Amino acid sequence: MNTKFLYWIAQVFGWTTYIGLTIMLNIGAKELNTDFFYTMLAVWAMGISLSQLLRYLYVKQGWLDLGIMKIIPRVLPTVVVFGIALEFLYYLSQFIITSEPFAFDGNKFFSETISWFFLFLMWTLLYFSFHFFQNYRKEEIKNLQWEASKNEIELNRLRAQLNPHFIFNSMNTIRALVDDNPKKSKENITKLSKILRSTLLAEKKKFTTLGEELNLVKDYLDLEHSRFEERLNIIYKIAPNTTKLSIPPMMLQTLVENSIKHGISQLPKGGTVAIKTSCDHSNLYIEILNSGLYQPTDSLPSNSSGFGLSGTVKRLELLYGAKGVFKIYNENNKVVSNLIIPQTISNEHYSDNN
Amino acid sequence: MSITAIIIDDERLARKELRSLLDQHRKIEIIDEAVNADEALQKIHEKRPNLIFLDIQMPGKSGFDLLEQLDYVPEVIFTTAYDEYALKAFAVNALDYLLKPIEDDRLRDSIDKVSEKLDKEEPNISDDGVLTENDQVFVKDGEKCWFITLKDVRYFESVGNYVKVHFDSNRPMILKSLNNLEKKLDSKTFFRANRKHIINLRWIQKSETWFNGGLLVTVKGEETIEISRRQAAKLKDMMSL
Repeated sequence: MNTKFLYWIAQVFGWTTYIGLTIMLNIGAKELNTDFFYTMLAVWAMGISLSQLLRYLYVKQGWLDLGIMKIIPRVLPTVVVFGIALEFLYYLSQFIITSEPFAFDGNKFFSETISWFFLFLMWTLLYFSFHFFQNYRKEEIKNLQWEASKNEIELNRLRAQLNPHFIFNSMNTIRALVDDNPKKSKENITKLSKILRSTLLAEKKKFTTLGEELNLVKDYLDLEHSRFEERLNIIYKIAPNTTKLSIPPMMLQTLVENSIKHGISQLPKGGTVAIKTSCDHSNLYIEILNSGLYQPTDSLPSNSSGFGLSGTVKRLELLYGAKGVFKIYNENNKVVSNLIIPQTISNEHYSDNN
Repeated sequence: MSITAIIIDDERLARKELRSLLDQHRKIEIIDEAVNADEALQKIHEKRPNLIFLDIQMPGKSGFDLLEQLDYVPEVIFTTAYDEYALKAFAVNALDYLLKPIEDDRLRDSIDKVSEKLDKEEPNISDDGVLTENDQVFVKDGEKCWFITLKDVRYFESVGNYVKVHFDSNRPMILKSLNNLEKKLDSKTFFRANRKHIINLRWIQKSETWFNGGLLVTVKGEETIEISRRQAAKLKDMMSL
């Protein structure tokens, strides 16, 4: 329901109720004649018109945005003036409708003005509180939207871009394979295309399945195997019941890429990359093992491992809070990366977005 | 004259690809390949190629690490897939690099440049491991790198464990002892002036007698270096016919 419509309903309903009550209260006290009805109808119309004018003033003067201490000294005299104005109009309408000779009664004038004053004051109070409530909600929505878009941008930034070094080296390998092994060169072109496509699409999705992510990782590792040949050994231990589980796109890929970039490619004799998955009722567990040594202190500006790892941590935190976990450590001459991806939470929170 | 070259890259297919590209270039004679920096170090030392094609990212030691270890530095054409950062380290002088996959035309340009440079240089007579003034060395100081042709060096100055190389307006430091350096340099050009300096005789502008029978030489304008008494006699000997 839009605000303007709501305002008009309140306006008409409020004044009608007021007039209705006045008439009912007067049933016993006064004889009900048509003149009285007409007068009340006139009050109804004048009330609506004057309060409309009042609103126009409040909006035009910008009083809605002032602090309470500034509003009171401005609004109170205005409401007094409006009270007096309505009293004058009331007199005038009675004079016109009943065509009785004009008789001024000071007491009556004063008490009626006071009651009009309170009427407008009440109206003003309602109007201002409605406005403040509305503003507060708008502000809150704005804040939430801002927060959400900030997170969205952050997430997009954190989703790893493909390492250009990998792309160009793969291209070079493919070029060599054109003579060496045309069939394999064709396969590699397809794989590289699939990887590029997945990277582009990853920005549109918050979650993917482990199975899909593994397809990407396999293509990637196949290409790296073409490059490093016997220097790269790959082991998969994928529990069949994990492939349908959800995972943020490119997250596993980033970690595998790191294990090649900082592990295997640094070793003259090469090494092994192993990927293992398992799950229980609430979490997906992924373990990546690679030959090499993890050195947390080594952080040159060109070295993007820091970014890849801290990016993974940040993404998990944004998506799952404290329940998503990433750990990396050395064990038995191997680097172990551990991922815990919560399953239930993601479904509750993000089922709308999927 | 054909140019002897060694290809250094850890990836077999990358080496193969470069080899097939170089097939069309009759000038280049590939005499060997190396799969890492240590192997390359040994092969360069043994075979003294005119040129190396050097991959920057290699496991263990990088291409730069290799160059730092070389006494004799051949002409270098770097090959890299993508590494702006590493290439930025270079002072503009004498840097040639090819991006993989390598473009035919760029390769031809690079080879032409190298062969032009090699033609201009006088043939390298000394084969006993001594560096002549036409030889180049690779110097890395912190983040910056240079190829320096020795004739451009005015003098070497010993500073603690390091040697400061004075050339153009640069003074990079290298971790070497002056005594070791003296053994490798051609004594016809490079002269041990005193405990702390080796000077390039071709840069001396004037010399005057100094205390205790020593000499004070002026190297290109404002820089003056004292020559000890014992060495002064040696220098006079060398300079007089």
